[in-house]
Amino acid sequence: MPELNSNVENTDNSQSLCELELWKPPQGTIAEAIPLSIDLDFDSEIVHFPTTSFSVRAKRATIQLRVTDADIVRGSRLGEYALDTQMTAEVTQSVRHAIETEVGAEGHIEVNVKPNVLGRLVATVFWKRRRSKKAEHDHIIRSSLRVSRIIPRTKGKWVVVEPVEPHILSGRFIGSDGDKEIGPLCLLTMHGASCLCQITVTVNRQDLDIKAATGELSASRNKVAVIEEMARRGISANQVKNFALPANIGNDDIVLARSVMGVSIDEDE
Amino acid sequence: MKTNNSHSTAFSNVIESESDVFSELVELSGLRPQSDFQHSRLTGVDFARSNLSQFNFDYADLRGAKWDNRVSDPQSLRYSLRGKGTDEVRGDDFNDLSAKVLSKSLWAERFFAFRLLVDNWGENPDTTNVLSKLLATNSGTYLPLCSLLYFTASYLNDDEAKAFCNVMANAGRSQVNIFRLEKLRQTVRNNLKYFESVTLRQRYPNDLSEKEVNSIRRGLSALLESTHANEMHDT
Repeated sequence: MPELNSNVENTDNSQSLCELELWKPPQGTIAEAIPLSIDLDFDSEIVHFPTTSFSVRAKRATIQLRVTDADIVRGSRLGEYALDTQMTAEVTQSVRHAIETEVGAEGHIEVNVKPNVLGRLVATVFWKRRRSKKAEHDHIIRSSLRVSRIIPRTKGKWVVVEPVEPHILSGRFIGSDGDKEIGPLCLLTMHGASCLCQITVTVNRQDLDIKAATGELSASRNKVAVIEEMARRGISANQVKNFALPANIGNDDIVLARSVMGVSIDEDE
Repeated sequence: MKTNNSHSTAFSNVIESESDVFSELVELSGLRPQSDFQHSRLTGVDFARSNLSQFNFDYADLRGAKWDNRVSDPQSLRYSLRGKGTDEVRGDDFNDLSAKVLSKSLWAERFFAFRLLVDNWGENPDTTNVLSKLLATNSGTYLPLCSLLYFTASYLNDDEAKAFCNVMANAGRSQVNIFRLEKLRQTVRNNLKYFESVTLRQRYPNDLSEKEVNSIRRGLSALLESTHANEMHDT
């Protein structure tokens, strides 16, 4: 079976508002189901000035995925109603398990996700002459009541929100916390021998929560409003210099983090 | 996070300034009034003695701003939030909410979207325009009456009438609403009569004008006439 070579580049951040780490696909990943596993963390950032300092935090962020020469596997997008997120992880694990336990054995591996007669989704992993089946349970009805932190949008975008007041993004939103895993972001199917994907995390300037770092700023509301606007513009200017803005990201969006991964099939193996 | 010296100097200038006039602080900060204040959060700002003629406040959050004693009006403040609400919304949500009001969803959902608009954006030409479009379309019985009543009640600070609209919308398609309908119509008539007698006082720039009030009156008259005609036809 051909092996996949991958090359990941996580751009170094100059700020601590957001950290994005894209991981290489695990050993044994097949070209039909490449998991995009990311760790996404949010924290506050302190902006220092001679007379004062501000704490800046994000209230809403957007993840944008751009893929070249690959397709997103239907129903695999994180947060989609169609497929429980745990399901995606189980499919990936099953594929990995199949390969790890069948080292050296020749066989055909196939992953198939489709609804059964009762409307539930069933993922089936075929390899050699065995079959592993993971059935989705009654998560669909309950998931409609769950308030999501990661909401899929059109054009390869996800919105990241904190539904609980005060609606500040803080801590890990995607990835493993050592106990359970949220993700992967989606699964990709390659068209040909290589593909490229880029993940960008942006925040709208107006979604930044800016507060005086040590207690209340001893200034009038007018001064605070002007200073907050200056801080927003200052962060924007710094970020635009550090990152090249993709064409479809608006002027009010600040790029917080960016990761790129190239995957190619090694035909010699 | 890195900051540069020019920013630090401008920060000091603003903080140490003896003046608290908004337009003068902006001049010290180096921000551009024409472009840097669209979508910005300016809740509770006092514009006294400010020359705002160059400012563009489109989509800005101006809830709780004090407009008395300003030297001049802003250049533009389309879709800016000037209402009394405290919901977690921002300027460009106006487009989504107005689309929801004019959609084919359940009437209660459309009403709650309209309520968010009125509460947070206030009663002004932007929200009047949405209300006029709503009245121009065939939107059933409850939605036009409740929306119109909520709009006028919000302007007149009539909390009782606003609560009545909320109760009806919460009941949604419940048949209980049928028994409340006559009270709703009567409240709308009373409210509009009162609305016609009040003297309009400008609360903020680009506030509700005589033109918008007349537009609402025409919409309401047409609405009540069609209801009356239907009732006559039924009897």
